[in-house]
Amino acid sequence: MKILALIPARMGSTRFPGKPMATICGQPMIGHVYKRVRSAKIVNLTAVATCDKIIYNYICSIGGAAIMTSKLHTRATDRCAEALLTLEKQIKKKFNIVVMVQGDEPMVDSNMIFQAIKPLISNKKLKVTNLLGKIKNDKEYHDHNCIKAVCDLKGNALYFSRAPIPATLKSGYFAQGKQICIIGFQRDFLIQYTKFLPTPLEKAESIDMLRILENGIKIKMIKTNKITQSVDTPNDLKKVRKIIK
Amino acid sequence: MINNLKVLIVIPSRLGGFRFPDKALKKINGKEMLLWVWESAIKSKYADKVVVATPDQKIKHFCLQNKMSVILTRKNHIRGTLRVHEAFLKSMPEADIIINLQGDEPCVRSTSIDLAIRKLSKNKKIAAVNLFNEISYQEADKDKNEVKVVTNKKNEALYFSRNALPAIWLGDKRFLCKKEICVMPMWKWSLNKYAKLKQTPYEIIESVDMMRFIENDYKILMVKCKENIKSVDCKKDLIIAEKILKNRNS
Repeated sequence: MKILALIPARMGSTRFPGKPMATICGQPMIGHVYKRVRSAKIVNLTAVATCDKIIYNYICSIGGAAIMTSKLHTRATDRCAEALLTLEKQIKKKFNIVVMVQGDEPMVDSNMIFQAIKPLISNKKLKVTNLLGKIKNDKEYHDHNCIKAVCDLKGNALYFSRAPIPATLKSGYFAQGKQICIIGFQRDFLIQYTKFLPTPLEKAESIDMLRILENGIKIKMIKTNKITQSVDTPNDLKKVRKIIK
Repeated sequence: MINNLKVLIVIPSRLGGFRFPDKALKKINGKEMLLWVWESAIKSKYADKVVVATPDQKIKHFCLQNKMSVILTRKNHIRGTLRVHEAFLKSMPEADIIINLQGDEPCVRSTSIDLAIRKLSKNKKIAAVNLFNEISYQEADKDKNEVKVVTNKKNEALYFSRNALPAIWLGDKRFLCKKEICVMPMWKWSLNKYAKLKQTPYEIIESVDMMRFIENDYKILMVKCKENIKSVDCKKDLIIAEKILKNRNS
């Protein structure tokens, strides 16, 4: 099994420009993520996929691998697929499984990466996995930056939304979970993803995974009890600084 | 009858809770809501039989007075679909297709009911068909009584919610959302299956019957209804339904 970890990152985030290079304890966020992902033993190679020279240069400077991609991607998944093909051409080898770890998940750990990959190794028919975390409070439930997921009885995703789902009249009840952007793909399916056209719900919500559900393909959600803090705003970064210290 | 398949329409109807008592018998342009629904149902080309399913003596009495066939069902069904299942077993167990036509849908025409039946009859594998209307995101956001639905490329339901779906984030604000219209044809196999399955988490949280199918990985096909429908959950809805039905007759 050849397993590749890809970390998509770009400077031009509308909500938080320059986010990947913002520092946590003196080190750019993307550096934290890169080192944490690389420490996962199950991963053979870790690379950052970016359209920005500044990120590329930084990753190279810490002895990491980086791949330049097109500026035109609107979805991180499309960016990763391009990087996968470029990398495979360079090293003249094919991977079996690709795990995509968003650059804004600085609290990722090697166990979470293992969780996302393991079901794909044992079940070749399974195409995609996502981690599912606990929603901490009412604020997170109503936060558009936090992507909520609902699943069927077997743990396959039914839908992802930035709207509060499921609708509940009782506050303080969180049967649902949130998506943690550690996403495992069978290598061939990641390529397949880019061949589907963008879909209506994917575009409306701006959620990569909806393209998969709208094409009738299942996504297995894997529960984790690990508390994470993804970074979407400068305020989130302050929280992470405190935790990592 | 459609392609030699026997068709039964069941109209589950209750007097209603505290919020809107005697809902089923409220008048719209001088005619009771339940009678509006009944008259659409009996005009269906495919229906071999139409029956009202109710736990209430008052509704039963109203039906008998108006020569509508009626089945008295248990009081304590937790879902309308289970009331429909009981009525199906008691009134026409030989039916192949059973339509759950809710008593609070006075605006649904027989042509729409037939459209839903036709779509189901072509596909043995899907558990149910539901109709939907397209509405603006603003409209979807307003009313928690309306059930919103998101679908895949084949128009199969992904999820039903009382909250507005999808959330419009970076997407076009003119996105058309879908609201569920409670005209729900099912196969005998799927209705029997429904009655055997346990209640599911989102069925309870969203209070949507169809979620029990979805959470058990059964497919529901959503079919676009060309006419404008307003289901009646409160007094305000009654006035809107009145307008829709008045414009239609003139």
